[in-house]
Amino acid sequence: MKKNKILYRIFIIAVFIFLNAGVIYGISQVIAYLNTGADSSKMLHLDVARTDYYLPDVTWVSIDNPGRPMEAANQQKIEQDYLDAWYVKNLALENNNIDGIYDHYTETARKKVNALIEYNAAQNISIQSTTLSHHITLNFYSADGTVAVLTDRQVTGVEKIYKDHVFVTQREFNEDYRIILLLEDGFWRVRHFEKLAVHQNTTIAQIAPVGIEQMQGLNYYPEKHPWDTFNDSIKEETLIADFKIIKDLNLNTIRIFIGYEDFGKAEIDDLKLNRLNTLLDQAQKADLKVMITLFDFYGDYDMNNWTLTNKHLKGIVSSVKDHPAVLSWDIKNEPDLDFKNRGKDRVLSWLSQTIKALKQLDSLHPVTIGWSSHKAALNLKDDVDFISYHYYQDLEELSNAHNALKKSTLKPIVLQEIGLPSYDGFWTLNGNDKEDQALFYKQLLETQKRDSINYLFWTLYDFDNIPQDVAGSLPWRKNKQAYFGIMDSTGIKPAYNVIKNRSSRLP
Amino acid sequence: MIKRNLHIHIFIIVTLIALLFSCSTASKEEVEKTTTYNYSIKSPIDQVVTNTGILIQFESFEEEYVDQLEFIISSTYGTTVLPIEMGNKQLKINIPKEITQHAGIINWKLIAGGKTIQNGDFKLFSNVNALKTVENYLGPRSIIANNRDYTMLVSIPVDSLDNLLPDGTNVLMQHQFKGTINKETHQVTAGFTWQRINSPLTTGRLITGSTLSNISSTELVADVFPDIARPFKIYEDSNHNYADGNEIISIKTDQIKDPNGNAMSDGTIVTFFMTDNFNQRWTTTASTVNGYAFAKALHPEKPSTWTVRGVITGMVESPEIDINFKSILKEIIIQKQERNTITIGPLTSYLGQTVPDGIQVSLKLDGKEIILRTKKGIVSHTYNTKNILPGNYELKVKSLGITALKSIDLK
Repeated sequence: MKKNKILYRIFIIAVFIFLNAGVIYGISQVIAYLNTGADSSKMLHLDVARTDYYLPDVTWVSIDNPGRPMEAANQQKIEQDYLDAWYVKNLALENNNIDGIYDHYTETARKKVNALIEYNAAQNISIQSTTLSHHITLNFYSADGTVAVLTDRQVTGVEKIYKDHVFVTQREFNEDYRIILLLEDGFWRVRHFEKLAVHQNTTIAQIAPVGIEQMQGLNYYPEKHPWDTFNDSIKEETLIADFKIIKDLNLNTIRIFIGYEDFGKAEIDDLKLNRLNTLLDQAQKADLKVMITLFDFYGDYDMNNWTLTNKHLKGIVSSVKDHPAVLSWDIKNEPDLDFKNRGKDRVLSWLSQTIKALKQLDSLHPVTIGWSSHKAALNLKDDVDFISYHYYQDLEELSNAHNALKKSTLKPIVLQEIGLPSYDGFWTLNGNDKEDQALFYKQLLETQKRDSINYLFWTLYDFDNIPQDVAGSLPWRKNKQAYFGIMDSTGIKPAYNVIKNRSSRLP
Repeated sequence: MIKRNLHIHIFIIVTLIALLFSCSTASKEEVEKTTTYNYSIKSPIDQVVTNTGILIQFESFEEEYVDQLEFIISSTYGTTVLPIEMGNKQLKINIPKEITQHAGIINWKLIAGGKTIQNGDFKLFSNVNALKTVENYLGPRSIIANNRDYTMLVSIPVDSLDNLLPDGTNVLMQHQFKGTINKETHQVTAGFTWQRINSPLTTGRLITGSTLSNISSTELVADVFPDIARPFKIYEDSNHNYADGNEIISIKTDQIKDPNGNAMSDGTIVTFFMTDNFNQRWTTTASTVNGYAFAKALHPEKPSTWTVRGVITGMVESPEIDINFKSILKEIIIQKQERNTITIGPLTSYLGQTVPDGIQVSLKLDGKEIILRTKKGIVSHTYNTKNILPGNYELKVKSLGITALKSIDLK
């Protein structure tokens, strides 16, 4: 009885302490919450970092003007606010929502933009648009730095027009504008906007030839870092050794992949770029040509991001296009797999405009798209310089598929990926062993020789660690991806010798 | 081997099922229509902006495919799709005022069945016959009266629908300063015109305005402020020069002017730096009125010499002046000692009048100093022999810079 009493006491005291602790914690949370929020140091939003959301290619043609010399800081501010004016107008026309117009247009200009948006909203018209390049001339900058007059020539861009949510047409434009900006409340706001001229769109129609006669090669990833060729732990020696193996196989081409995020999206990571240059240097020394596949793991395609992908493209292409090892550009690996999720139209629009942007940066190297199957290979066949497709179906049908493509186009065709995993484990019903793989290559090379197919097989090594975002986490998919190599950690597989001793050797 | 056969069987069954499904969803082949559309519109000509819209007539049309037509039009502020209306056996498109009010190039495209069948562009000019206003921007709004500074007037005339006027339009830009009116005609280029207005050499308000036929701008004003001051002089002004610790001395500047003779703006701060011969330093400040600044300071209590300098920070400073203060006291009278009470005074000033109340008197005895303040010219102090041993002491009295010694006996 006495013992119970003590227990009760302990229990009651414990509950009391616990409740009090809870109440005090609750009150402290309320006080903490009330103390958050407005902080006088943040009143001017000085700490808000600008993120990358709209980066069309801007060229300042001239800042000479009779009013006042332009300072670099103000020039940057004018450029940002002017581009933001385009950006908010693009968004407003797309969503028929005038948010943001207030900040970037003066009262009278605002009325003009809003009137058009109201009209479009009433008609249920939506316009998706982006500008891609600007060429700005500063005509005038007033002595007190509050009035700026710009002429923006050759503003290129794309508009997609939808009515009642149905696509009507796409319009590519190349126009000149005059803009008068006023500095109000710390923003450069558009006071006047006037379209001065309309130009024809310039397109580079010339086809860039493929630099080598017969493409024989493979898709390359380092053994320890598949899907991560530019990992910082990969040493130059690894590349030298791997390229020597590839050259010993009497191959002449490798295909590599550049991750969109891996290379820093719009702002290119210099470290990664250096590693890309190192790889190209070593390929050059080993007498290998490199097909560079861009935008790996990019999957948005939204028009609002086009300026960002173009900036990424410019960063990479303009820094390595003069490298002698570069053979060609592959815009994207297997974009047709995104047709279902993102919409075929959206993916193709992005591919088409990216090819145009690339052609403006580099018209010498040929461009292709790595379609995931021969069925998708004829998409945008007029835009690419040569056609690439991947083939993971019945080898018997390869010849037919290839010859059917040949009939549909005069452009060169590359079998950009083909291979067979030597995996016969728990997860496969009827897997292939290493001998099957060798047999596969034997048959493939016979077909290849007969039909003289340009090919890049998949791949050099078996991989131990397949990243989650490549094949997902399902073991039957993952394991399959791991055994596509013609070499594994113990050495060569039989397929290696089949390739090495093939009769269609390069001269 | 048996295992493998089983696999093959399963594979065949699965394939058959898949085939069955694929047959049931056989794709429908689209029949390509080779329609020729017989539509053409009369392209609008270049014209003046209007807020009533523009009507486009069709030159040829057929009623059959009207629902497949789309008319896309793109103005400065964006693109839209216009409805095609059938009325009175006429097919027409009405370009709304949202598009036709704004000057600039308008491009359009007529689409039928997804294909462009006609396109073109036309220009809308601003309406020079219906003007609204001249927008003026003036800045900097405060300038300095010298030959280097200027302000800039930017004029942007607009028509009644808020469009920029064409190049070559004449704008009369005017400014007025102290009754002098300056008029200049400037031509609009790229939608605006501008003028640099050099600063006058005298201070005041510069008033600007622009006109164009019957429309005008608002009045904008710039203030002209004096330039950097020229060196100035300072003076002292006091009733007397005795160091009585009571009188107030004024330190004055002469009128501080810029090189063009404009008095400094009211409120310009002048700082006076003062040093005395005991190397004590202090400052006082004054702000100018009509170019003059006055600062005040209390006379010292002991004879001293001040060195004073006036400075306008970052601009200019005056030459130094010296101010001498004489002692008001000739001697210190130490009255007869009554027991241990010592009375000093009355201390008299330069006219024989008693010194002002509150003058410091220091008594130093046996190394201990006490400070007293006069009342009616007198201080007195009683030494307590509980604290200090009786005997003969030397008493040192100091006041207003004078020292007196006296031998006293404490009992």
